[in-house]
Amino acid sequence: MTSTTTRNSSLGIAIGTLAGGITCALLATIAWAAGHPDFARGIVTGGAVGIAAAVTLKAMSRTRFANAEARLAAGMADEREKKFAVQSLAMAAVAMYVAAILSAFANLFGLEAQAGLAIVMLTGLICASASFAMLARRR
Amino acid sequence: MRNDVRELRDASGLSQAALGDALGVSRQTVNSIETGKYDPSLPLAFAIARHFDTTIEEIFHDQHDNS
Repeated sequence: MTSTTTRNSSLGIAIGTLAGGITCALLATIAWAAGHPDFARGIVTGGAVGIAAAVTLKAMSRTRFANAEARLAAGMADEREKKFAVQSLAMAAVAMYVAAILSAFANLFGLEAQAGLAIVMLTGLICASASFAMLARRR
Repeated sequence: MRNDVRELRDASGLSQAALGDALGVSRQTVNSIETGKYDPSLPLAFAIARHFDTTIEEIFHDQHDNS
C-alpha cells in the first residue's frame, strides 16, 4: 500500500465521518425543533453507532483481515459479494413489506405509528445484515 | 458446475489469496469457485482462463457432461 493510497483512504474516512455527522446533527435539530427530543436523541445515538461501524469496517478493509462486510462498506467488494449484497437487500425488502403490513394491523390495536416505523426500519437493517453475513459465509 | 481451478492453481504453486489478487477478487471467492459453491461471471471465467493460459471449456465443465 502506498502512502498516497493511505492518505486518500484516511481522507475518505474523514469526509464520510464529517458528512454523516453533519447529516445526523441536521436531522436531530429538525426533530428537536419539531418538539420530539426523544426522536432527536435516537437520531444522534443511531447515527453515532452507524458512523462508528462504517469507519471501523472501512479501516478494516485495508488490512489482511478484511471480511466481506468490510470490503462492501469500503466499496471494494468483488462480484460474488456484490451479488450477495443485492440478494440480502431483496430479502430485507420483502421482510420490511411484511413488517409494514403487521405494523399497520398492530396500529389498529394501539401501536403508535413511530413505533411501527421503527419496527419496519429495524427489520430491514437486521434482515439485510444477517442475510449478507450468512450468504457470505455459507456460499 | 465442476471446474479444475484448484488443480490449475496447485500446479502453478499459487495460494488462493495470490490467485484472488491476480484476478481482482477475494480469497473467499476463489475458495467458493473451487468448491463449486459459486459459479463465476463470464468476465471472471475468461480472466481465470486467461490467467492459466487456457480456455473456459478446459476449466469449467457441465455437471451432466462426463468429459
